[in-house]
Amino acid sequence: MASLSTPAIVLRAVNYGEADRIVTLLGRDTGRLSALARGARKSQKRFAGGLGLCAVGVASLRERAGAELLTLEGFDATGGHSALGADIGRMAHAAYAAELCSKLCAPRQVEVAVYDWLAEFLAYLDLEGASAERLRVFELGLLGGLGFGPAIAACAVCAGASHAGRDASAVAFRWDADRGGAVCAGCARGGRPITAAARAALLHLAGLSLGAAFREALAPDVNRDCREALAEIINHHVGGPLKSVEFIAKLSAASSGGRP
Amino acid sequence: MYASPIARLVQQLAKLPGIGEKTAARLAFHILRASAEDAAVLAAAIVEVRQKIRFCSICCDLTEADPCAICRDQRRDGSLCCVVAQPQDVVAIERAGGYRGRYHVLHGVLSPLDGVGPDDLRVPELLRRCGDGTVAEAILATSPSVEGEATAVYLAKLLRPLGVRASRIATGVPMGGELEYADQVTLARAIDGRREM
Ligand SMILES: [Zn+2]
Ligand SMILES: [Zn+2]
Repeated sequence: MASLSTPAIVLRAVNYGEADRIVTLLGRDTGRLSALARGARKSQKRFAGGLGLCAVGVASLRERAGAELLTLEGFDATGGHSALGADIGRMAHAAYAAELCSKLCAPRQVEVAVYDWLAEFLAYLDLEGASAERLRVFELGLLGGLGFGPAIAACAVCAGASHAGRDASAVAFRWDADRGGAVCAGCARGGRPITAAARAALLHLAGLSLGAAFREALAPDVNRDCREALAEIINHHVGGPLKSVEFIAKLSAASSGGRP
Repeated sequence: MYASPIARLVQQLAKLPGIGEKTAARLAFHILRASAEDAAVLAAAIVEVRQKIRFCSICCDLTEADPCAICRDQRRDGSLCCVVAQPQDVVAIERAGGYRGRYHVLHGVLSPLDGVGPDDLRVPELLRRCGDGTVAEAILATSPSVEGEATAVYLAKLLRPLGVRASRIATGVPMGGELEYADQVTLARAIDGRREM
């Protein structure tokens, strides 16, 4: 029965029973974990500021012997992400980032850099609003941080060996999520074509900070190609549709929403 | 494993929100121990609620008679429409007293992680209702969560072109609460939502 305390971000909270909630947290010092928050729907005291989507705070947890589910004894919200609900685009991007982390981060695996990346992304989202380019940078950083980063500059299979000595810009590439990203024509066995512009944009975005990403403006078709290329990589690792992506599709069907 | 009628009941009870396999079994055995009459009354109540309760064709609240009692009540102010997420919220506001307008029940809020979009809510009904000129002000009374907030902002944007004034319920320090014990998020909101005196 060990107690622990960690800075944490609420990835998801679902109601459980009469008054409880089951909360999925990304803890800076614990990694992703799920915990039972007893009385969370009634007690405002122990969970001050609430356990809302992407709430940032300090979680006090207790481990229970033999139980996978921890007990959340308290959550002190520190970061007031008060603007995440200010428009649907912000909320959709926050939910998408949270869902990505809850699906891609392994349970109880400490990933300090990933935690900080998410926290920084949410702070910018709160401050400056939704931006497709910044979301791409977030995806690339998250994938890279977890060791899932796609090959972009060089072939995922031969790393350039099969076209050594030739001008790299003259080599045709295909995009193959199963084999880790960009694959040169010599190595390609499947996948689909990817434009040189999309590959160049991905490479450029991969080197940007979240702050700088906001000032980028990709052409709509290049943004779409980048989004789809990264979605294939993400689907490969998640292995199922993401609810937040479904939501975003519904929004753009209902009106012009904040498509990532 | 249980005899199949018990297993069937456990399976059905376990579909209820917040009821796990263990609780479902406990409830099933409680029903088995109860009198045959009590069990029949429970079963009949479940059938009846499905047969008799429907959505009010005006406000989308749950009701036995359509339109519901509040929509029929001529003493209520039809120019005021309080938009809430759940039927339970109507009950809570009515219990508080003081509100003399009408309601609209959305049956949820926009929620990316649950895949709930605008067309999954009673939004078209609200817009139709607000388009005929009777509603002057819509009070957006969804919870002050990210989802409730975004839903309110989304609705306000749709309502304004219809000539309906959109207002948002205030949030902040609870009555009887001590300022120094209020959490940072609530306190920041209370300051943001200040009003002139
Ligand atoms: Zn190759
Ligand atoms: Zn009604």
